[in-house]
Amino acid sequence: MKGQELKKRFEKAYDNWSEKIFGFVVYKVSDREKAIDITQETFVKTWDYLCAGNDIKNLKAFLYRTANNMVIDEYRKRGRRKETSLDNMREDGFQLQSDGDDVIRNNSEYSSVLRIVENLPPIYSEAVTLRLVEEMSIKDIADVLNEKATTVSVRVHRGTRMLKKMLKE
Amino acid sequence: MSNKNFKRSVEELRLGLREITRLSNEEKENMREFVFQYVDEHPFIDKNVTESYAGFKYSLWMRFAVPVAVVVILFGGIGASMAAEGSLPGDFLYPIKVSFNENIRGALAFGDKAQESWKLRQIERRFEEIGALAKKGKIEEKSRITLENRLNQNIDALGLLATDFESENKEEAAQGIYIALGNILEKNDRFLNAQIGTDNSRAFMQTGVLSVALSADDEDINEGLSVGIVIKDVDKIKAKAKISEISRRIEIERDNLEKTTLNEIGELQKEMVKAYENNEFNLVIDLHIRIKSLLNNISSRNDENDEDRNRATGNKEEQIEVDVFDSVKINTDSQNNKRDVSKNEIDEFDLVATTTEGHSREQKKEKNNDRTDTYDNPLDFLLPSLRTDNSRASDSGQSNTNHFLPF
Repeated sequence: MKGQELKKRFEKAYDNWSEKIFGFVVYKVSDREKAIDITQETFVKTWDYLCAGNDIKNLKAFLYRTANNMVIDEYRKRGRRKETSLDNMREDGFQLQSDGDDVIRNNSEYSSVLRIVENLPPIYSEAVTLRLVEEMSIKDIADVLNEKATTVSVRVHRGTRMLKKMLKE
Repeated sequence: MSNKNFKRSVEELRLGLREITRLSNEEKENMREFVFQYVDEHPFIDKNVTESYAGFKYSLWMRFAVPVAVVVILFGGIGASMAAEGSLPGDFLYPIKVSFNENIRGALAFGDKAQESWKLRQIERRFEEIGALAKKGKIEEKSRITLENRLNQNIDALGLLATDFESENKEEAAQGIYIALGNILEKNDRFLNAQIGTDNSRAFMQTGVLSVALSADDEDINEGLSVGIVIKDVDKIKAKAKISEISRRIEIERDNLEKTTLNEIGELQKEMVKAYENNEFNLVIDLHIRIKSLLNNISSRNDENDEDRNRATGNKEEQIEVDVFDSVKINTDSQNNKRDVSKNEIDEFDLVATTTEGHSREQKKEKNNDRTDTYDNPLDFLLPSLRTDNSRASDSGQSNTNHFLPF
């Protein structure tokens, strides 16, 4: 009975957030295969955690945090942050999974925005990405990053200001 | 940059990232399959019970409950077990006595000898229970059935042990079991519905075993009481005991017998075995009495001639007593004396010790009269091929001729 309920909840979470989690991960690790692995592992670990009898109130935040922790592990493994940038990925033959009719493709402004975000100090780019791109609430971001909501709120605010300033220049 | 422009930039960034990070259908399918295969292989198991236990475990009550339970079980168990020792069929604690205490003691009896004496002791205990109930004046039908079943179980178990001994060529040990069992049955014959023949009853009276059984505590048992315990194949068991007894007796006495007497006895013994095989148990008993009287004549003649031994074994009065008690004497040899050591240890537990006391008194008496080693006339024709020396060890050789079916 409880098992069925749990599975339904998990399935719903997967359908809602698996692609977003993947996006979040791939943006950070810049390695598609690795990102798929991490995303899969994120869900598997979450399922195990649920099966162990733990209650997860905010499943979305939990998934992001798990993914984030794994990304950090991945960084540690590599010994440095971001081995390849998205540009490098593109140069390496990284294929956009677009159907070809997306307006944004080849948009120079998009590239510049991305580059600017990438150039923000890591703690700000992380907060800004989660807030603006993933459209997560401050509280969820705080859960994901394992930080206080006020800290996250300050980072998002500063990061956004930096981003605005950079875009202006 | 205006707010509007910034919003547009962010929107572009969002869409751009979404573009990069979009999963192909194949990737989506693979990922989904991977995750849900794992989910199916590791289904959720409702741990409600465990969880509630985990909560319970740390409660104050539970913290004390385990040691308290251990103490209660330990001391309560020992207490109940000890209290049960004195219980009788129909009592609340009787099942603990027979199913728990006796099984423990049986399991703790290591080795053939200990097993043998414990199994014999169990049978004695049943008769003691019958005696104790009989003294109370009546035995409920339910108790009678319980006792009857238990007794038959105990006898079967002993019979299996004897069969084991026989299969391991420990004929002497098997004989010892049959003889000891026969004696227990005779001693308690008044409780049995066995019809073994008037001759035997007479012989039984003559042996004096009855007087032991009816010593002090037993006197108030109504002589006419028939408890009506039916032992399966009781006649057969008794006949078997008689045959074992005679074989052992002949082996002991053979050196003192004249050739003609021994011939005669040998013939009778053969008849006895044949009668047993034909299920003519009354005939076995009759033959047993005839052989015994022959042997007794020899014994008493020898006793008169051998004054030295009379001095060694005590006064003459006692010597005569031994001849009267002959069936008991046969029961006791070095093996049985050894067994008594462990039996006495076991007896420490027993609250009902009436018959045991009488029994060990009897044993002591007989120990003084153990004459096995004093005969020295070889007479080998009865069982020539098996006769190896004069020592007691040849008993086992003798017994090979009496390879009976187990009961």
